[in-house]
Amino acid sequence: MTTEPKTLTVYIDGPLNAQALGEVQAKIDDLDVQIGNIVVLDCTEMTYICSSGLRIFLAMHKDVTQRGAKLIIKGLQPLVKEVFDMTGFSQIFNFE
Amino acid sequence: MEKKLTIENKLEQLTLLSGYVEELCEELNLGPELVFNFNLVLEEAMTNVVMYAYPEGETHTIELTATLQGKELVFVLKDTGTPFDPTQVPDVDTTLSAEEREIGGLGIFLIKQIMDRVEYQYIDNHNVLTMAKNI
Repeated sequence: MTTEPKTLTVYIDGPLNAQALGEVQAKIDDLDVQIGNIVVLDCTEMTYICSSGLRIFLAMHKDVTQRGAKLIIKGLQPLVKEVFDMTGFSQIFNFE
Repeated sequence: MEKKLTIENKLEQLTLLSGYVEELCEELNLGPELVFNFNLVLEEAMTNVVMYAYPEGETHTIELTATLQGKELVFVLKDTGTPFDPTQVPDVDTTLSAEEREIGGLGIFLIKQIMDRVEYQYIDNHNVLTMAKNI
């Protein structure tokens, strides 16, 4: 019998600018990621991202992978996706 | 056309930026993509100054001016902090894997990607960063 992997979802709303970094980091730090989990960063409502936001995502990707789990980014808006493309982050992350 | 924004070197003052960009782009009739990109470019440039240009605890002003020169929209950012030329920061290698990627240099890289011309000068004890884009 196989069980579905457990999914943890983090929702990010509004602009991920310098002011929002602390709140987003706290949401991420609250996650209890275990081996085999799928962590979904739901960015459907995220209207903007700055380079510090990208750095938080990168650190999260490394941490989640190290714990034997998988990070998936969901619902990037087109202008935000362009920032991922410009910086090569589109090649690093898994998208849904 | 000239539009100015003066802020103190405090992170919370950067919240003034989005209103400034919104108004500027409305005056010039520019679309959401440029609003987004100018917000990003200016936040990156000004965050660097706020975070690194001055010793902690000191209050200074940072001045941003936008002028339209023909088809080129020119942003000039001036501060009196430690001389620093962000254009000399090596480009990030966008082909590296997550493990190999380094943490720094992303902000200035985005500025250079988005703008058509980025120049630095040190004039009369001021860092002067010029960031221009054809619109």
